[in-house]
Formats: sequence, C-alpha cells, structure tokens
Amino acid sequence: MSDIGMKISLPGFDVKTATPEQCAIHSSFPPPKSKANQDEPHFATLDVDFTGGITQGVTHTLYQINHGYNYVPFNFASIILSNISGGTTLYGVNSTGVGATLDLQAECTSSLFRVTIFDDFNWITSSTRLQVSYYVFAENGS
Amino acid sequence: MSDYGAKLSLPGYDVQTIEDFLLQFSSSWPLLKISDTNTSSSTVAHNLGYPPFHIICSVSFVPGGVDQNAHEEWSVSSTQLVRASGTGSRRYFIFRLDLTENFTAQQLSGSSSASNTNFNYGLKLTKPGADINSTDLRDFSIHSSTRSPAVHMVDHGPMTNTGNGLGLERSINYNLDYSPLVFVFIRPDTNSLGYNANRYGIVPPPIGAASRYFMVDDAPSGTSLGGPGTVYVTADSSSFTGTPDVSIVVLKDPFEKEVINMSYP
Repeated sequence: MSDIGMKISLPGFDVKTATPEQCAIHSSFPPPKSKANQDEPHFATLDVDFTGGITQGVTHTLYQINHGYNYVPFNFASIILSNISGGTTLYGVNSTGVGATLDLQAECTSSLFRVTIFDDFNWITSSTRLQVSYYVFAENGS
Repeated sequence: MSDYGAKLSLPGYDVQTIEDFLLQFSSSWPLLKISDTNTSSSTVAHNLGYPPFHIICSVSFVPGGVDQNAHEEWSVSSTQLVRASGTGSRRYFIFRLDLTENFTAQQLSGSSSASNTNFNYGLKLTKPGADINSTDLRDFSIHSSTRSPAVHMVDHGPMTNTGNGLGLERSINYNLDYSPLVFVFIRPDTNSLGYNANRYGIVPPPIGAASRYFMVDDAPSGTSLGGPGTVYVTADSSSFTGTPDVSIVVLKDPFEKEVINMSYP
C-alpha cells in the first residue's frame, strides 16, 4: 500500500520536513477522540450541589452515562470537591478523598462512565459542591 | 511570511467566528498526538530523543482513568518509559509532545454559541491501513464528530526555593479567558524520596500530605505566586534538595464545558 497521509505543520515549519512534533495534526499519530453531540455527553462538567449529608458507609453513584463501547475506554476527569466539613477543598484527577473515610472516584467500566462517592465521616454537608470535568475517549484505557 | 493555516470546528459551530476550544483542530497549535499506546508490565522504549508527555492508566482503582500517582512506579527519560517498581500490566500513552520544549499558542476569543445555520459538514481521516468507512473511532486520525485535547502551552523551567508553599515554587500565567485542564510533570533532581533524579514523572493535584502538587487558579496561603489565571506548582524543599524542573502542560480544554447541574441527595 502506498504511503498516503495528511499532516498540517505549525506556523513557521515547512510541512514537507516538519517532524510530528512540529505538526498540528499528523495522520500517523492520532489524538485521543471523544464523541461530540451525544445525548449522554462524552465530555462535560458535572456540577453537583449537595443538599445535605449523604447516607454513611455506602457507595453512592452520583452520575453515570452509557458510553457505548464494549471495552474500558481511556478517560480523564479533573475533580474539585469544595467545602467539605471543616471548609476544606479537595482536588484530584479521576479520584480524591480523605484516607478511608471519604472516597470519590470517576471511572469507566466496559459500558459506563460513572462518578461515585463514599463517605463514612460526615464529610459531605449542605455546603459541599462537586465539579467533575471529564472526557471519555474512544481509545482503549485498559 | 503570510498567515496561512487550516482549522476545523466541531459540528454545529461556525469555524470563522468560534472560540478556540470549540475547534476540532487549528494549524496554530498541536493536538495531543499519540506516539504509542499499549499495555506493559515493564519498561518501554520510545527513543523520541526527549522526555515525552505520558499518561499511565489505572487498572482496578479507577479503570481507564489517569493514575495521578503513577510517578511512584513510572517515569520517562529521553529514550524510555521506565517502570522502576511495581508489578502488573498497565495501559500507557506516550504522546508526541516534548516536555522540555516551551510553546505558547494564541487564544481565539470568538463566539461560543452554536449556530442556527447547518454547519454540519465534516472531515475524517483514517490511520494508515484503516478503512474510511469504519465505524470504529479508533481507526481515525481525525474525525470532525469528535473532540480531541489541544495543547495551549508547555512551560518548562526550574523551581525556585522561596520558602513558601512547600518551599520550592513555580507559577505561570496561562493567558486564557477560561480555566483550562492542566497536567504537570517534575524532574526531581536530588531527592530523598527515591525518585530517579533525571526522569520526569506526573505531579498530582493536592491530595493529603503530598511532597509536591499543583493548583489551577489557586495557591496556598502565604505565597504571592498563584491565584486566578495561573498554574502554581510547589515541592517540598526538605525532600527535593536539588533544583527540580517542572513542565506545565496547559490544554485548550475548559474545566467548565457543557455543564450538567444536579443536586444530591
């Protein structure tokens, strides 16, 4: 098969000689791709306003979508959990928490992307706010 | 030199007026291009000649997600993604992006509204050897019905021992009118934590009693660095006793996008 492809160089670089690093796109090196215009969005920011404490000692599923792949896809989720008990703000990528008493996870199964939380020390109050900025990509994540 | 270029918007948006993060690509900045992805339980050669942006995925903890603590086991040199400890197979992504090469893209501050006009045209480009009629998105290099992470900035440089934060600090202005998604990597230099001095590993946001962390639009009290519009990185000067370098990678991907509001319980 002939070596057919497409590349677009960054400003200042000759596309005929540009390395992959000097290209905006290069058909031999695809980026991770997240589906646009989905009824259950594959990229979005989840903003959860907690109205009060949550049942202790059990895992709550706050949010989930069916991603439509039959494998675990690559995903990333930037997390800010603000104003937990004591006024602390927690950050994380795909997960955050406090020891064994607070655990927040954003993850995929072979059918779902979901955000779950476990609280066993009354960390979550009516002042707590959760933001999860996520992408679910088509590429394999496992 | 004349200002030539190409850009492609997401479906439903006017490519001539749209804000930068709603473009599928623009020739003014690179997409985050995958050099290699696979699973491995040991060191992987990449031979790129520079330490690349990389991500290690979690397996059982947050499946498919970013292992923000991967530096405990994995780090990169200019030739290898090194597994220094641990067992078990992990999914890795190595990208064609040099962590030591500074880059800053322009910002396009256009509209962020979808147009009523039917702009639902598109472009798709397969990987070598793949069928253009494939329904598997993994077969495509570019597909205009998808969104891909785009690089706004790479800032590489040494940390400074200011005595504030955890002791060592570095901060940058990202110059976007939205809060972006950010990844940070550190070359530890001399340290007492057992990290290789010269290989780069991922830095987590502040979680528990960390020896290094980064913040976006925020900073710990007592420092004049950081705050709105910045990425702030700090490291423990009692553990990192040399001069660490950090690489801050800012993506043209807003933290807040297509916001889904809900209340719970």
